[in-house]
Amino acid sequence: MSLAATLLADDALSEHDGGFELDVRLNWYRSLPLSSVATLELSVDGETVPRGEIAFVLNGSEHALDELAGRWEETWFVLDPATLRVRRPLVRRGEAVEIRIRLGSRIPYLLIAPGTPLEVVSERTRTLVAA
Amino acid sequence: MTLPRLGVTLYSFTPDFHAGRYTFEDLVVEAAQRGLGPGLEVIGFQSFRGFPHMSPEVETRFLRLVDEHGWELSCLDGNVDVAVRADRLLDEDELVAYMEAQLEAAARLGFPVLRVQNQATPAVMERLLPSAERLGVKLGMEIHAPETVRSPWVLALRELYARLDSPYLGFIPDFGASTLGISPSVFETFRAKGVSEELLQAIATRWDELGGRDFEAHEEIGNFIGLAHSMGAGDHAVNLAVFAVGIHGHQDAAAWAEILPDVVHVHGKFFDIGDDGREPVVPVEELIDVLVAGGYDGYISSEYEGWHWNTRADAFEMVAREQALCRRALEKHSGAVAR
Repeated sequence: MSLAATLLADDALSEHDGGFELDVRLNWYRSLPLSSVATLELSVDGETVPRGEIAFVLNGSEHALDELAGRWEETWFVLDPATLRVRRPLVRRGEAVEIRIRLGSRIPYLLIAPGTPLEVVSERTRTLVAA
Repeated sequence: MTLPRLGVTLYSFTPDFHAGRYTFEDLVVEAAQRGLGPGLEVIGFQSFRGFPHMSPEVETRFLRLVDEHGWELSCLDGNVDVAVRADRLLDEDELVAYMEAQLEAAARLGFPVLRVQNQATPAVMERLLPSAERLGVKLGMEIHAPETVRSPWVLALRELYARLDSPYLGFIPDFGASTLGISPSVFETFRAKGVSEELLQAIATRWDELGGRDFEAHEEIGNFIGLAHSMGAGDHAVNLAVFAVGIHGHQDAAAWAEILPDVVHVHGKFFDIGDDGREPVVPVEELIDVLVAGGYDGYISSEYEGWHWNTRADAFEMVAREQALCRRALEKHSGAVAR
């Protein structure tokens, strides 16, 4: 639960092709299926990035956020950052922006009601300089 | 008399691993060099990329380190991920297959026990038993706070175990199920985060009340979250509730005696060891007395979990202190130094 501190590393943000990429760490102690990613919200300097504009890149594949629910046979290894790829020009190389990320992971062995797994939500706001 | 042996689960060092200060292999080496063995426990989905289908290279490197550093493999922690799919729970056939892969991983590596969790129903356990017997890996059902030896699902398993009478079906008591109260360091941490004294007191009082009655874990966590929200805990509500109800249990230490013949491994859960060498809320000596009196001679795997809220403590030092406490408790029983 103290793992929220590691959600965003110092070098998590970079500018790319008119957009940007942000590396996000898993907020749980063990690897989880991609289908565990239940909540993912991102804003840059207070501007929310629409969900449909965020691509989730992991294990060499790019997924729309809405596809993740079906990817239960693919694993997010606990030490690997996932890269969020956004095509909107909100970030410039060398400039600082305030990044807010909210990640909710469904824990597949902890049910809080019949059929309902616990969702652990972590939020982190950091000022980052894009590489 | 054979005394229990000590050891450690690498889960104790989760923040060091997660932050990249130590790789999995570094932890295996560091914990050995600090003398925290001989029993080594790891969580499959934490430590091994690709678990339960690791590459042969990963397995070989791990086993070489185990050998080089004198570890004895005590327990592989599996996870019963019944909600691995987002659309529905796994059915029984799927869950059995999901767990068989983890049993096979334990067997390949040479772990004598696979930790399983309470989403594995008696029916699932019964269906896993032939594989466990064939592979020579015991199924160890963890009994973790706030569950107890008398929880309805545990009673159902005890009935199953009595009927099937196999040494490959067992339990793993977690010392966190038998605590005297919520760790003082939880309150210190949330006080420092600005949570009101009134709320902390309300949580302590409600926790005490729970000791006197039966309750459903998830419902009570929900109630604590509600209580915390109603008193302004905001984003701290879920953590406070989980720390209070989910990892600090009320079961009497002596009650473990009821299931001791079926205990295949022990989680020596603890949260803090002060400069006086004592655990403020886990009655470690009393728990060890109960284990020894019941003839338990397996591993007590030190599991430091104070890292959830204490971000400054050195987990290696904490485990070393807790094992010193365990050794003192064991020495009392034999006059000999426990290994």
